[in-house]
Amino acid sequence: MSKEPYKVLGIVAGRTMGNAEVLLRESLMEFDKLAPAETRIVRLRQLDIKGLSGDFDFLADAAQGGDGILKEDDDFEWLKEQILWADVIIFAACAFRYMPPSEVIVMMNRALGAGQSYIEACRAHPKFVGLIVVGGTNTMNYNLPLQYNALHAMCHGFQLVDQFYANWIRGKGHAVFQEQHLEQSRQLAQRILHKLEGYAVPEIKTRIMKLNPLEHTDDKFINLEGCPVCHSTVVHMVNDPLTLGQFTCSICGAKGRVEYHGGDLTYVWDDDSVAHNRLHADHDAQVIESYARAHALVAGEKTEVPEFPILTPENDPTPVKPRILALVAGPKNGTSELLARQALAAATQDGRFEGAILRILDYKIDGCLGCLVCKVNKRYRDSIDECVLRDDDRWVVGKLLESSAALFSVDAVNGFTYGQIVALIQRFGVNTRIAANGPQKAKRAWATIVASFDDEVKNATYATGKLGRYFCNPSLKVAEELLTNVPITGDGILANASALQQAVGVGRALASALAYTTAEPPLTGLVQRYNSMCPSCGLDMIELRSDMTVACAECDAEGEFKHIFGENDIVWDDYSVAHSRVTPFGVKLHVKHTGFSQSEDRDMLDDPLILSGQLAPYIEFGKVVMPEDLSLQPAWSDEQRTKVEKIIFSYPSEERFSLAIMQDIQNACGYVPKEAFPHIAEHLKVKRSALYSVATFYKSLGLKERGKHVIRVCDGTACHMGGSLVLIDQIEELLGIKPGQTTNDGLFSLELVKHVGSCALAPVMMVDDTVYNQVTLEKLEKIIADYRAAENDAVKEGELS
Amino acid sequence: MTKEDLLMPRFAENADVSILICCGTRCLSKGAVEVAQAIQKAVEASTKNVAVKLETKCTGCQGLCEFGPLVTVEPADVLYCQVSPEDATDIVESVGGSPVERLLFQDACGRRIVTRSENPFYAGQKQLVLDLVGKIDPTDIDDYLRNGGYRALAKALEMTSEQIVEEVIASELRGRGGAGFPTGIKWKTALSFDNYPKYVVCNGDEGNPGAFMDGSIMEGNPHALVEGLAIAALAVGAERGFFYIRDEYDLAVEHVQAAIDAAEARGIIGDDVLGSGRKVSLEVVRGGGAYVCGESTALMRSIEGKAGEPTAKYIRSVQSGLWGQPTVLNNVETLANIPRIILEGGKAFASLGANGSGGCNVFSLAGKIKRTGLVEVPMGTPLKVIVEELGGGARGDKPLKAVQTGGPSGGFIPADQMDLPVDFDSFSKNGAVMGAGGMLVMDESDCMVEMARYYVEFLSQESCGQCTPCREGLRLMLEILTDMTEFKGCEGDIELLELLGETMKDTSLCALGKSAPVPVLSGIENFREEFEAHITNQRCSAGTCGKHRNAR
Repeated sequence: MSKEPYKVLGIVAGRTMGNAEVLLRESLMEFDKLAPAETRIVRLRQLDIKGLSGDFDFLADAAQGGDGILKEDDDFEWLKEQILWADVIIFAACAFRYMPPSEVIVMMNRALGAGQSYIEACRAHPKFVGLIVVGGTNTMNYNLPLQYNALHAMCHGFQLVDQFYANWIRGKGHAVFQEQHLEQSRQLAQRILHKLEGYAVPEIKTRIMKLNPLEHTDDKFINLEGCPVCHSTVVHMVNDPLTLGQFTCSICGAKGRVEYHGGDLTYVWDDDSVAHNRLHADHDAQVIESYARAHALVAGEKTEVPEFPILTPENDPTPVKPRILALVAGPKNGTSELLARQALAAATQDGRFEGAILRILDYKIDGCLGCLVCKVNKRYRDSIDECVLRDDDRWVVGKLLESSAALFSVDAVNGFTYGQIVALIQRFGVNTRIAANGPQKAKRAWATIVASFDDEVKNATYATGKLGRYFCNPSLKVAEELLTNVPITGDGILANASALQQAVGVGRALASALAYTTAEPPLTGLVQRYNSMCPSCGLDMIELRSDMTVACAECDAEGEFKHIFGENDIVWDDYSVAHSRVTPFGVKLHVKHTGFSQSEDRDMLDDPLILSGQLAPYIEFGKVVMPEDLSLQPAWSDEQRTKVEKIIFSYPSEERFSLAIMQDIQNACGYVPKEAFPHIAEHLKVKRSALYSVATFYKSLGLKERGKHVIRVCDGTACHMGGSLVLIDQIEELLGIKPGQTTNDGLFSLELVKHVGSCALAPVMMVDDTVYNQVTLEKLEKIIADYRAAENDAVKEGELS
Repeated sequence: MTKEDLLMPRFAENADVSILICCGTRCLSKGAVEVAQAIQKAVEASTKNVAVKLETKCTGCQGLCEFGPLVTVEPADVLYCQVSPEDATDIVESVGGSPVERLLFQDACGRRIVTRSENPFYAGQKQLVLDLVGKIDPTDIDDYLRNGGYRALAKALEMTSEQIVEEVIASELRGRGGAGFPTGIKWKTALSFDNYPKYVVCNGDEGNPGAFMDGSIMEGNPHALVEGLAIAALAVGAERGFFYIRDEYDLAVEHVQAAIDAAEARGIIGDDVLGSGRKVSLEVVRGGGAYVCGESTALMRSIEGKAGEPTAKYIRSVQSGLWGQPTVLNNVETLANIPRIILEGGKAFASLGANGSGGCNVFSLAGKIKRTGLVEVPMGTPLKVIVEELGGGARGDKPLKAVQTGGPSGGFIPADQMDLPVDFDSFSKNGAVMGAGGMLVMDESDCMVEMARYYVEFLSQESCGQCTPCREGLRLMLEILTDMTEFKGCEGDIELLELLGETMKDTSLCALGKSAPVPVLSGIENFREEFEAHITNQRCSAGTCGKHRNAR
């Protein structure tokens, strides 16, 4: 009895045929080789998935016993089908700003409205999962945990089999040269297959390569310590001097501590919390319960909160006094906004400052494409308009830079924050605005309020922290308030006196910090630090390593657990603290390490012959699946996609090849499909509009699909004199088409061309590549009849077989 | 390895008799491939091979396209016309004996002519560029080397840049693309700029309907162009060169690319040109089928991967062309002449021509003429000789009406001016346009108004639309001329056309717009009564206007 093929779903976030996709395909190819498998690839970036808009009615519905589905006009339902179909999921993503691309976060947000019945269906058919994270730089600390979290939101109850970081891959598609990472990809597939077949699989050991391979010839891997449940390598330190050395897993909430036994320090995980982690099936309903509990009205006296102007491009007054901008991510008039208003009221009480609110969820901020135009292209240096994407990002960032202080008041949703915030960070971070307005120059105070209806709020501070650090000087983080188990839609928060009081505290801290920053010298160290917090950036999330060393998840400052005076505490390394990524030294060091300046090396790897030769088998393999409305378009068949991608990657990344690429596509497909433009633009680093102007300028390029046979009648001078117009008339009579049209059966298209180089034998016509000269009307009829007959024969043959 | 070693053909020629099958685009469309296969089979089957060593070769265009497929037997110089695959055995068996009578060329009196040198079509020609086009296998670098190929490049390497430029100036070689700008002067200017990198470009974007000589040269002797462009690069101090070839010329693209690859593989060009340490790398860029890309600034933008829109020429491209660097742009035929100039000296080349235009010029004959095809004649040859002696006069012995030269933006030369010597200066003195070398012969059945309308329609489609005089002027002209061909013209239309034409000439941005009104103005100047007859009498002497106009 032959076994049914395994259903393997590859999900990829990042660029088309980027390194994440290459490694994913390597895995899928290995799987395909070892066992009967049906593989599908989903490119998240090609899907239209709407993020959360701040409307949580679907949760209220679930709280009253409904399914809790958020219905939107997008591809999410289709994605759910794909996930339910699969036995195995391999999820590969690239790293932007030490986080997964924002499309992953948007998917995670959206999964909050997946519906209870879908979650049950996922639990009923647990899948085996492999995670791959690809990046170009040294550190990606928090990527795998966040990716795990996103996949958990999307697909409850899976079992992680393997995961790895593939870092230091510096150019697009260059993963094909990294044998060690390709090997890891293959191992990942092998392990999953072993698991499926019921064999024992080695324990997951997450490693990361820490040294710069340009400067050190030996590859050095560092073994990370993973949580026993979710294998997250990042934990929150418990911020209390009495509980030194205790931590909580950032994803599943399992607790652990560092213990000292016989001269050695070890990590010890608490069995009870491991057994009752947040990912367990028992906890699925808890989200809904938390929501219901938090939204049960809080009794008490309601307070009035003053209103503040809401900034929009239409209502955009220039600040008169130093402005404190509250960036609010949450429902309209929801808790985040009300708390922000309360904080602003406290901060502007004495009339020295003014406050304003910006509702980030109202704006369209696309995720970073990773095209690196902003970094690579020197023309864009020191300019504020460097990103090729044109959306609301510019305006929002402009507002942030215009203000003197910022308050990030955000909701925590499924353990993280909204996709818009992540997109903002990634766009803001990659842009060279950092250099112009970032940590070195800006002196802005910032504070954070994170509110959640459940108790998972800490991770959101990772995002707001980044926002603050890119936007402001890290030392001016003045306050951070985390509110758990509060309603987020605003109902009843006005009766929650303690929450409002916390907001007032944030406002006051901001005002006093702002008073300092407007005068000299700048203020430092307002936030009180315990040892377990990173002394460089103030975050309390650390990466655990097997050798008892740690690294800050945000800034990569390094330290080590030591047993001192009877306590197990982190001792930070002074050099790495001073050179962490948030310091001016670190920024320089980091830019150097990312290697974008080392153009020679890039040129070598960009050699089209080497790269395209290596990439070809990957492009050919596999089937990329898309939602119906996309795949229904005949324009972009799977075969065409393969053809087009092969053509694109066979050329070096230089603008001058745009015409040649499109001509090759034209020859291969008969026209230039519109779906090809983004791919070409991405590869050549030119704007799509520029490509479009090329495509519409040249006659040899067409944007419409043509018939099976293209009849080209030459209307050059000699042929014109020889009667080409008569031929055109005759063809119109025979086929019913005019130049530029296609017959209804899709067999023939007619085009007029000027000059095919056979003027001596006018009139001339071509059918496909065959030239017919000195065409007469009889000859014309025969030619067309011949093609018709050949077609009929082919159809008959097809019917017979 | 020395230069001599590098230039040594890998395989020496050892055949006694060569059968050359013309595989130019036009003969191919008449079935030359089948003929070549049949002859190859016949040679293999033949017993002749024992006595005399036979070889077959597929060559470029042999010229007499009207009577293709052509087959030439060397060294006897026998030319067979309209050969079909069934004739293969006869041709092979006739080697050494008497030629196959029925395949021989028939002259006006019905006489059969055996050799090419006796053939009126070839006898009046002086072939400098076309010589090898019809003789060698374009895909075989050894064939080119056996015929003295790349010797000029070797010689140029021993000369200084200034010496090469001086030689080209002495040759009086004028740009064959149409403008007739002295090539040597262009190179000298480019050499004078001290701004590197520089580029050299070969313009193979033969967009002129009615012209096919550049395509034939690229197909038939690509190595001469590789050599010419490499010498140009040495002369101006460039290290990179581009062939910009129109995409419709599949065969030309293929052959030039193959020639570059072969020359690079032999170390003739590339990182170490003939062991001299100099660097010249060449590549092919395919055009996109836009007529305006024959204009230099548009062509360069097209190579840069942008839409081929011309820019104003305040700064010439020899100073600031491709990517803002000094760039020399030469036509295919110009470059094909370069190796000969270097080898035989500029003076000798200049002495072949006349009136300040050196050498010979290639023309493509098409239209209502008996023998269409490619001819090459010394500069200064009277037009009459080309049309009547070589081309055999108008087809069907109808009276000849005019010769159209210079492509869509060229003019008409009426029948009474057939004594005009063909060279740049004589033409421009007489208000005619030399152009690239397309010659279309028209007889009484061709209406001048319709021809003018046709050219304006062509140009209005090809105008890039950037500048108003060209875009709107052509649109208006087309409207007026279409009305005239439909007998709906009115009094004053001709004057309006003239006014429009003058405005366009003065104010358009690029050469396309400036020369676009030429066919209309030249038509009006030479055939005014025909234009008037369309308006006042609703009469078309050629009989093509009026009723047929519903075609589009």
